[in-house]
Amino acid sequence: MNQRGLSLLLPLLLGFAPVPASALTEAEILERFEAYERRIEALESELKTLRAERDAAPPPADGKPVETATPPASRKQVARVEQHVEMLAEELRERRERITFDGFASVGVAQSNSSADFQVRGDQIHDDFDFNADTVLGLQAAFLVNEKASFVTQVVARGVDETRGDDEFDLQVEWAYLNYKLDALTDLRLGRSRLPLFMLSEYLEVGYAYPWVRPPVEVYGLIGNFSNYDGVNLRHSRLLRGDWYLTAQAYWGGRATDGVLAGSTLNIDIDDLFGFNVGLIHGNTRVYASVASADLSLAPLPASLAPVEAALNAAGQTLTVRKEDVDFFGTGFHYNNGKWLGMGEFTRVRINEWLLDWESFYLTGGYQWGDLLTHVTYGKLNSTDHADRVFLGGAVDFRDAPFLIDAEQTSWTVGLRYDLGSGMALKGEWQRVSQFNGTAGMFSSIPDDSVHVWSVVLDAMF
Amino acid sequence: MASLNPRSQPLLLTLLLSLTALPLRAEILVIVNAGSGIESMTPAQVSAIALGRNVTLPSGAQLRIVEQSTTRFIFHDFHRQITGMSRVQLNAYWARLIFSGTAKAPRRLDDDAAVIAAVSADPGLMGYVSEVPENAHTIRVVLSVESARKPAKP
Repeated sequence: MNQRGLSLLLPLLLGFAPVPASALTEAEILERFEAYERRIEALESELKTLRAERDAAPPPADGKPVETATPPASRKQVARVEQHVEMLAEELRERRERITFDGFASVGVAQSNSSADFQVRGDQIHDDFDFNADTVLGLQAAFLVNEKASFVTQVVARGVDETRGDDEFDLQVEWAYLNYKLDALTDLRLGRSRLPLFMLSEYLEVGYAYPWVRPPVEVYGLIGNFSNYDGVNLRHSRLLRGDWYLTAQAYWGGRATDGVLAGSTLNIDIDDLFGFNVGLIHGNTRVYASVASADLSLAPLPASLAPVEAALNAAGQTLTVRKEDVDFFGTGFHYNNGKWLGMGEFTRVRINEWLLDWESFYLTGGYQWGDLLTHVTYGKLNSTDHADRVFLGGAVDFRDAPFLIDAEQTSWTVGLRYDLGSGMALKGEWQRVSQFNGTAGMFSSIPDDSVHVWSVVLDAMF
Repeated sequence: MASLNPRSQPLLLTLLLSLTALPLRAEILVIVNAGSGIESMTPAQVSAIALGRNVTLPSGAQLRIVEQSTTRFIFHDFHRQITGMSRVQLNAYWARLIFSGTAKAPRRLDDDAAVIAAVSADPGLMGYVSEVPENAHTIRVVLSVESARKPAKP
């Protein structure tokens, strides 16, 4: 019996000990939990049988207590099995606390009234119903390696940009980092994480976390494929005097990804990325500021840009985008007293040479009626380096490359968010985008008139 | 004989029995483990911990909150008075924390007895309840706030 108990226990313990958490898939971990529970059940039923056997033994005629009538060997066995069960239960509890799973999902439909595609979230909104742009599924797993270290990974599946030639879901590892606690207030992250440029960067796709169907496109639309990076992140947070709460992070790294320019795929390389951001929270108010710089390389550039290249060369510039300096500045605020909501962000991006520099902002105001939030947002985007591209004038047909003209647009968004409880929210939004000033704004081609966009989304977290 | 069910807590029963007396004055009592070395806390500290923020108390301790069920009055009462956040606000707030990898979702327990049992068992936890048993040695009340609920008649 003892040997049997041990032979049950050993492979279990051995099976767990040497495997690093990060090497296990979710399915494997769940499988192990299940196996663990089955073992406990088996041991429990074995214990029950042993007890039944013990109790079934007839009490001796001289009326001595049952206890002493039980053969000592059997009592020992019962105690031992009990001990095993408790050990296993303890181990199981510990393991369960070490791993947490969280998820979020959004299912959205959106439609515009323009034949020009509205470019949002690395996807597009068309003049027919489309489920893709706001539809996303994310799963996050956090493994506690030990007291100081944890491993966090987040996998996100989302609708894919049709310009890549398919209309399917794309699975991306958005996060995979090791978090190491340097001290009680300071964390070091190594690996892939969200690029924390904006106030909402770290939960960009978690619709449940913000009021709108999607973060305001004038500010958030332009990061497209650059929503994460590989590198190092140092973060510190502490409670200051006067009940201010400070969070600060500094990060360094880079990212290689791909994107689409003028209909053809190209490699996008971000190197020497360095950034810093700081947030202050006091009561219902949060303020935020962020700076970052990086080197941008794009290759190969689309063949359709040959006329542009000629014009650039004539002006003594080159079309090549190799290690161009990009500078980012952003600042924002968030206020919510449970009834009134106010939010706003301003961003400025500067890129060397002919690529667009721009400034953008949004302001949101809202009022909460019980579980219903009503909100309105004003957003504006405009490029700021017109002079850099003036010489392209006659050489380029801008209809083929609208991103080479300036970019301007203004939008009003009116929306509702209804909290359904149990981690679900239903949102509806109407957006009017206008004042393109002859540019395409955030559209694939120059819209004829102001554009109306309707969106509905169901957000959930679990 | 030791309990076979790993989840059963003999402590729970004792606590439940001792909690049957009605409180004379309705209060929200913030509790920590008696072995945590924490004597008292300010509303600001309690609020910061309840919101999953990084707070080091003067004792050097760092605490996590163990929550009450959102269906209980005390959940809304505590948050209205301490964190100033509504349920809707808290839901979105925790979504931001969880999915930015900043904090883990707090455990939610069904009643005072479960909160007391959890805090009794873990010096790293802070909880809030409407009453604690008179002879509770395993927990300590570190802050008490008048409840918005009218006291029950004795």
